[in-house]
Amino acid sequence: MQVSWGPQHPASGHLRFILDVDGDSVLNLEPDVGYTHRGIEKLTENRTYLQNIPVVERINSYCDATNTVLGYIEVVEELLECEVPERARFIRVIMAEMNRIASHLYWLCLMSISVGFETMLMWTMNERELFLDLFEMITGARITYSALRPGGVRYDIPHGFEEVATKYLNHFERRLKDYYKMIFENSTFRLRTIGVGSISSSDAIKLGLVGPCLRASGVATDVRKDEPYEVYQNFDFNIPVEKAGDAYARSLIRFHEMEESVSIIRQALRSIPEGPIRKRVPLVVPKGEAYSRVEAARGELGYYLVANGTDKPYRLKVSTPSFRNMAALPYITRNVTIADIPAIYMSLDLIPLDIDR
Amino acid sequence: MTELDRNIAEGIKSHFADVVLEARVQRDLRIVVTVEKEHILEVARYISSEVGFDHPASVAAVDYPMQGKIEVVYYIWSTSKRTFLALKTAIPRAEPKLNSLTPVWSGVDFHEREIYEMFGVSFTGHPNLRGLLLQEDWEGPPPLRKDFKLRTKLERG
Repeated sequence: MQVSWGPQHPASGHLRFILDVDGDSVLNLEPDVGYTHRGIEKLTENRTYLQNIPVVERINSYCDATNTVLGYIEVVEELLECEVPERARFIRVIMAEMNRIASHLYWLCLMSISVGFETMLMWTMNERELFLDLFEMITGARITYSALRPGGVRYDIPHGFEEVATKYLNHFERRLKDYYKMIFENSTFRLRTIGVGSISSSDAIKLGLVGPCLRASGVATDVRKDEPYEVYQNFDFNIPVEKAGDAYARSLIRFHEMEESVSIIRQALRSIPEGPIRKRVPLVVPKGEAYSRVEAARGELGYYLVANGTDKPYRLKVSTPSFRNMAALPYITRNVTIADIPAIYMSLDLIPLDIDR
Repeated sequence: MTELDRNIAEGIKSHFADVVLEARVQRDLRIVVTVEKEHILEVARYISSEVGFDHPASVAAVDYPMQGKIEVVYYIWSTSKRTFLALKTAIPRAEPKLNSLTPVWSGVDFHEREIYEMFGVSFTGHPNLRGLLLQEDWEGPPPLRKDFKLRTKLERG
């Protein structure tokens, strides 16, 4: 029998799974996506490079705006070959890591709902507010900032930011310890996630999974280490890796990533140099092509830009992490029960906006 | 790092002397290999199994109506060599057909479906070549081709 899961299911977001089921067990899953397709790749061909910043931000605006824009800025700067002030690069890293934490907290809220643990929704949303407050201090906005631009950043860190951020980070680290006890030692959560949706490392590589989903299968790959961009080579941080490849391992990776991100923000705030925050850059990008990779919260995000020497991109192809992680779904949902589908889906951290673009 | 990239590029070039049109290192961690479209499958098999590029990252298509071609680019990361390769080919715009690389990297499945939908490139040997993102009753030319123009003015009346 065929069953539609979504697009109105409470856990599904704007996508649909077509499930072939036999009783309660799923024989085959076919993702049906495109409900939030906005044609962003086509839109970017009709706007200038600066006008495109808010457009590409909408690829994944409500979770991970900074990292999404950072990839675009990186690829434009590679073709412009422009200099970026050191202070701007530090601000970018601070914002990117803050966004990673905010995104993982948002995921933790959805993940705990998917296993029926709704108390956690209030807890993680509460802590996410702290980071949104910090964003508001820097940019004046809470979700979509458009704060990065080629040649630097638009806003400097305000006076008193470091004290507030340190206070929040101290609080957040205490809360992370509570989270661990609340979720990862919770018998229900362990029952619903351990051994559920396992994927082996060879399958994960072959299917092109990225980010926490790949690292949970025992593959230590992170763009911040493999191909350091901005100033990530200055910081001392670990890449959490797990072996099991199941929903629990993926959750644990994201939890440890939040700890690492806190450490990176602290190091960046300590060592941020004084100086200008942006340089003037030309509005016309010379002819050529480039591919940039950044580690967004969900994994590697790639931008392929073909420029033809005008002020508009000739072609901008975005390879988003959710689109790539979606490839795992049909593989890891064979012969699971329907009740496990929300936990598996949430453990991959798929965002329909990110898939559809 | 650049030394490793150069060796890989030269190795591929010498192994497929008459098929690979160009193999160069664009910058650190960016190898670009351009092949003839008829031979993309065998070159992909070689660089996947012999050279170790195993982690598909992206598949992009670029439309060049003036030159009458569509360029298709496969981006592949190597988890063992830790470097990044672009496998490029050009197909005629009038007859956009290409061998699917799903037998080599199963992760390119959705990417190829997207290109089929957005550029009208049909991939021979793809197990499930259907639309992905657009609505089911979509009619009109493939929307990411250059001759598909966006409506720029509001329609009145």
